[in-house]
Amino acid sequence: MSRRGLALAVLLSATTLIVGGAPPRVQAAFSYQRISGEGSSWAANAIDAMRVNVRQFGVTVDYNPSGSSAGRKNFLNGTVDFAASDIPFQFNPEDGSASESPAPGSYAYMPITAGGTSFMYNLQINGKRVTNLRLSGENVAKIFTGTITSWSDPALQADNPGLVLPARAVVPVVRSDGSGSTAQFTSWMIDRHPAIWNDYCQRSGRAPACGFTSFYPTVGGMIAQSGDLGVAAYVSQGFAEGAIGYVNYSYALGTQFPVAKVLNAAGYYTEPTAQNVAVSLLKSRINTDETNPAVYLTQNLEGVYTDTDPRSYQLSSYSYLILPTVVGGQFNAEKGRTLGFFAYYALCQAQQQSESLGYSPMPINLVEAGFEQIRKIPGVEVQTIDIAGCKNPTFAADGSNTLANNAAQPQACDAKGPLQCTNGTGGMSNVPTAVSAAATGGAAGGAPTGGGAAPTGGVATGGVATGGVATGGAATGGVATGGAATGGAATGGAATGGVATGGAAAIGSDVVGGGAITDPGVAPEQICDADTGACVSAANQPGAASVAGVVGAIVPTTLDQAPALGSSLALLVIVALLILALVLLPALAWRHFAASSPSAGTPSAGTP
Amino acid sequence: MIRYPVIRYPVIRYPRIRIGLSRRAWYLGPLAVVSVALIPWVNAGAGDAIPGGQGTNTALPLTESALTGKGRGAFTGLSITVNQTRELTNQAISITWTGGAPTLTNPGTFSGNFLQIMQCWGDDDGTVPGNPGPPPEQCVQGAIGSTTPPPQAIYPDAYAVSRIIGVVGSPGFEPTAGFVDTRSSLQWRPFRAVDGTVVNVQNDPTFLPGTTGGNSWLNPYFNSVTTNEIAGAKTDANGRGAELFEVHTGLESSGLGCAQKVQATLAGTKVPQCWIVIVPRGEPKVENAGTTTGTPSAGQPVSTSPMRSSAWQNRIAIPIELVPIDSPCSLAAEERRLAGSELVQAALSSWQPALCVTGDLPPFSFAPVSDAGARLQLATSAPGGPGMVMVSRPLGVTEIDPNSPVVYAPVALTGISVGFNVERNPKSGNPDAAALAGVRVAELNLTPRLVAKLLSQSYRQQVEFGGAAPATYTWLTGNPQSMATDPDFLRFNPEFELLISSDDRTFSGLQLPSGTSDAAQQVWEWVLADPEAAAWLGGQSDEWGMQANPVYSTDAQRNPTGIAFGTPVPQTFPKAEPYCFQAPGRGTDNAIVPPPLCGTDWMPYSRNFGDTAKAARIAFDGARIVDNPLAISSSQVWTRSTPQYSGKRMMLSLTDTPSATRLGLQMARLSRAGDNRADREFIAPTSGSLLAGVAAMRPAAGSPVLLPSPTAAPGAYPLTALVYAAIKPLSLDAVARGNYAAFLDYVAASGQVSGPQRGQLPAGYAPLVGTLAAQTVSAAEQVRTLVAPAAAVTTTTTTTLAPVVASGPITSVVRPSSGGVLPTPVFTPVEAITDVPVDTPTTTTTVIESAPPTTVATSGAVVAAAAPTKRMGVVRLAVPGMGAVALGSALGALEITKRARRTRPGAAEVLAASSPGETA
Repeated sequence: MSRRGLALAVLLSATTLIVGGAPPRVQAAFSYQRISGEGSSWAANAIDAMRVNVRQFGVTVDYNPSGSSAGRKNFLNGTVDFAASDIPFQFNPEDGSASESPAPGSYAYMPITAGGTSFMYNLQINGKRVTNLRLSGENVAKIFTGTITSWSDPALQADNPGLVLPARAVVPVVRSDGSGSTAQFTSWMIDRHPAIWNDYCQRSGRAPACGFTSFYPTVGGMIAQSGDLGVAAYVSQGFAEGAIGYVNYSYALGTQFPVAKVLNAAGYYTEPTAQNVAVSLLKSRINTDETNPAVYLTQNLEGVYTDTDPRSYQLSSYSYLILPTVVGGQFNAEKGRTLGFFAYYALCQAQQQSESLGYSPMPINLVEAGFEQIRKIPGVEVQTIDIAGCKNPTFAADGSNTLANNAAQPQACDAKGPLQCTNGTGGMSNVPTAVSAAATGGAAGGAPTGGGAAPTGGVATGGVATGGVATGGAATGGVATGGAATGGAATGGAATGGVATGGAAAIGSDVVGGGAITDPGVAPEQICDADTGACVSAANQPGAASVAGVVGAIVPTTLDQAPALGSSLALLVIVALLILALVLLPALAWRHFAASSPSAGTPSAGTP
Repeated sequence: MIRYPVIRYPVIRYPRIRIGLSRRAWYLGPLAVVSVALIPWVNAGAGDAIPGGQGTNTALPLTESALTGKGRGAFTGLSITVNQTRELTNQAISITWTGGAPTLTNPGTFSGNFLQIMQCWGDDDGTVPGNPGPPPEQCVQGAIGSTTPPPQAIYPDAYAVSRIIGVVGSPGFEPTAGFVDTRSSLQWRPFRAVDGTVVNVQNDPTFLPGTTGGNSWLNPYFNSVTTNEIAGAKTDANGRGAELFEVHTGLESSGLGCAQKVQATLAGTKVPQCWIVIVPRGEPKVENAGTTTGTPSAGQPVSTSPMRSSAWQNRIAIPIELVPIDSPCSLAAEERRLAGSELVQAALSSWQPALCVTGDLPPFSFAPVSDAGARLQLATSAPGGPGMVMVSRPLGVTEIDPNSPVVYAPVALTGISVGFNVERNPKSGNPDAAALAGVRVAELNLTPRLVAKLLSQSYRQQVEFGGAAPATYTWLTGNPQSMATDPDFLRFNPEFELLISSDDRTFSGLQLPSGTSDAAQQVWEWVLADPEAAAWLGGQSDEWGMQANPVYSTDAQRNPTGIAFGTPVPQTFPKAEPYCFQAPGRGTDNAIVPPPLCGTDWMPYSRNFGDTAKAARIAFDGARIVDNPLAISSSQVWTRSTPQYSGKRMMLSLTDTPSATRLGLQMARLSRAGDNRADREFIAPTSGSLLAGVAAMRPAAGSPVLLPSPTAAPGAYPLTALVYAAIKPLSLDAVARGNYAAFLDYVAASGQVSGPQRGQLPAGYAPLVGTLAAQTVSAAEQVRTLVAPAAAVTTTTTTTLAPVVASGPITSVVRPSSGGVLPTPVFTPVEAITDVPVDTPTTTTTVIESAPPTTVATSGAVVAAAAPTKRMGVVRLAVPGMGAVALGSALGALEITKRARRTRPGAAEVLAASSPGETA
């Protein structure tokens, strides 16, 4: 590497080439060596955006979204520098496929993005696209194992009291290539609905290898397509009415199709918005055994499946980069330097884009753990990153997850029961679907949500509930936002608004609709918490509303208090605030008193 | 100037200095001109087809720095021209040649007489006195053969594309020539990187796939994905050939380090010379003589490496000069985020680095999302959303908050195009046509109806993929297999009368992007606005009896779905045909049920326009349609198809002009919607036709945004696309507004200077002219200064300070201090650029016989960068910052008290206060 040092030390003399009479440019002798990666199509929309944006820093990254299995395979074959995979290496695959055996100590996992595996569907009622479909986990499992074959199946109808589902065949669309999302999905089924899966495994001829699999076994009547892209493309076709497939949420946004809200353990049907995924992953247990690289930072999602937070989405997960930790083959230290830069960018700046793309930014503890993993890349230029400067929307000063803290509570009509929300989902968040009068809670006068008023899609927080969720602590926000959130107007009259407005915790006298409201429209077993505005089913109520949880076994590291900016800046800010306060406070005070005095409203001369 | 692949008639095909034309050229030239002139009036029968009528010159135009190299020895007749050799960056250049021996092919493979092309660095090694050039160790070559499984047999023998130059103990082994890997007894030509690192062995012989800790490919500097080598270039029957070569800077190939790194010398360091090296390969018996790598036998292809001294002695080296690349931007915590249409991607990639080095601005990042998704994100001002979006259509009236108006600024003028990669496969019987076997087609003429046919799965091949279509599909019986045999196509593209379709599957449909886009809507609007196409989609047969697939029928009665296609106009390219082929079960008791094979398998979608162009370029769409008889589970039944053979490529893709240009695709000329004359006009996407296209656009109702005009005007490219930046200034803080305004300032000025360098407008875009650029400038000003509409100003709440700080009057005070100094907009109206010349390229080329010119390039590509400003440190910010805060506070206080005096808000108003200036 001494040669590298030499190269580093010298600068190009800019004597040879002059463009258009501009002054000679001095060229740094150092450049980032190009790297290539391959793998997950689930994470591809996020990785591709990162790839495109690091180009401006002189970093060239190739990425081929050929599926997690292909990514891991080619990483092992040494034909790519890094892989992206939704699942770890499969040392002992349970589906009969060949085992993967990377050399010990030759790789590290780095979580790169979070997101939800969504069930994108194509269904119409009377020629109008359904956008508010709800499914219980059991029904999802039955659909993808060929047990439920018609949309008018009573089990599906029970999930959707406000819809009259058509007698149309259900067409499950699965992945034809080796896929990490298939592995995630089948793991979930095995954990939650083992009998359904095992029965299917027998029927599909896969038995006895009935463990979770990257290669979905198919039976007649099923469609298999390559990549998330293929699944989304098939489901979105006009003829594919009745089709439902599993894809990353971003693909539903890209094709402007709805996704099913899936019933969670709290009794709410939710979709994988950035916020809901953030909430859900508070319950993922991240392996913290740093001594065992084969498992370190891998995810155990069982806690996510059974999370009783009303906002949680069962099929939330992380996707990973597999980083090389030794030099060898075509991977050298210079490439390590590039990969390190890319990985830092992915963990810090790129997380700001997650929501926009349909993913969810990663929480602070995983970002920090990721920084540590990056250090293991040979040749990496270790950066001291002020993590607060990453502008990651999940970061809060107290180390908790802001995005999760502020996640909107589901509307009451999202609860299991006789009500059903009209809001659209996924890529059709702005297109509501009408529901029967009974399912609106009887409040016929309530203006339906939609038209962008209170979309729950990935791009918008539900305006309905912003206030209520400013749980404890951050009570100040309660006033303004809570007030704005009176948008109970949004959904069927009393059904939601009041519930979500956690006004009681707010300070000040301008509180609207404070106090615990047990909404008449809510099913009887629902209890709403006055402090959090959270509505939970009675059975799961204790502790359900704790949102400032800790992810798995990792203790969130305390936030680095901006050492990079230095104390001088902090001082400046304080001084600025003081000036601001000193000057403004008297004025405000004056205004306050003037406003409360009955005589103060006299218009002065020259008022426009 | 935009460098589109030029529409050029075959009069001048391979321009070079030459006295006298061959008999054929003399004969073809005038006839071809006549044929082009005649096309409009003639319903050409087979007799009218003319070899070369579709054009043969697919090369990029010659530039002043074009160089020609001459072959030696057995290759004396060979003359190779590179169209541009100076001021290069990461871009495509054309390499064309004449006087070669026609390539020997087994079907699909090259067995002899082909060229191998590569990029190299370094000083003349003195091996060829007449033609200075680098040593073989310093060339990027040998990665193509390294993939597992090896690439399809389109390339010559594996050794012929490797760096293996001998085997120990075998005939022809030269002990001193290279590095011997004792494990394998193979002798390698090492690769020496510009920094001095040497990679001796490229492939690990002990590697076993899937086992612990192996790496098959050992060269960190390039591999089969990143190499730019052309392992085998084909010479046509007429002795000519043409390839596009992607020049790599140090960013793409750090082993070469061109324009990016320095090499060590005795005296210190220097900038390395970079080269294009062409190694011509001859007959197998000559190339393999005296070696063991490939025992010479009948039918044995060339099986020796070009790196062997026997082959290398014939190499032709052409020096190239690259422009140094600006220092990369540095990471900053805060990025300004953009999201939206892919059509701006290429331009943004060029602008991004220039923005952050010139303007003291934070980096701008871009998330490609659908136009509709981008509009929704802007409309909802979602917390995680972008500050500015890139779209081709305005937000809906109901989506716009009157308190937070949307400002639109034109940013990129480009086109949607049908890119193609089609090589001639002549029918037998016409010697003139046979002479053009494998030569790429330069021109296609397409009408809205032909594009409708390609988009609507109406050719037989798009439905009969299981062998036969369902018996009920009577509409299909009169339809051609593919466009290649459609009389509707042949009348405008008569040379296809002489050609066989090499692949009906990929010539009966387009490679299409997935997802929704405004671009898709524009394509459908063009199709549906054309009477001929509309009538056909409505159910009328064309003049030759071809019917539209009824699932695309615009007549609800006819459409089996019961819904009229086209209302509303789709924002996607659907594959609406529902038929799927169910292959029979197999294995014991037929337990393995193959997954149905559907339209989306047969012609899979690409992710985006960039990928459709790439699929056409590499002639490979990755369709999983090949039945694997050895499958042991259902998921193994359908395997990927293989790339089309060289000389048999037949790809059509729907893409954008920047992607097509970057990847060297030819682009079809399109006719306007409504132009159904027999002599209709076909218009290529050039900067001139795009400007005419934008001139024909009309504003959307209630918005400044210009919408496409499918019927356009004569000379206007029908699929001209204009992309706007849309922004809600009042939803952003002052710093963000300043940054986005500066972005628009850049886009309006320096960003519209066409050229391949960083910061310039890449090929495939036309510069915004006159009013459009002025509109962008004024939009930038609005972004900076817009204040809330007077009627909508709400008084600030008494409960929090935040809205006060950001409310209207104070904004203007805060901006300069916190945003730093913004670059002065340098607006130079860019004049309408005339079309790339479509006729005789008069440029002469320099012929290298002895020393190569190494002179300095001083050409006129002027980069008018925005005035750079110095970064202000925290400390330097302190004083003015404090002053501004104090001033702002005071003003704010004044304002507060003033307002309170003027109007006393009711309690409800106070509560509902949402300051429009508040940071989103």
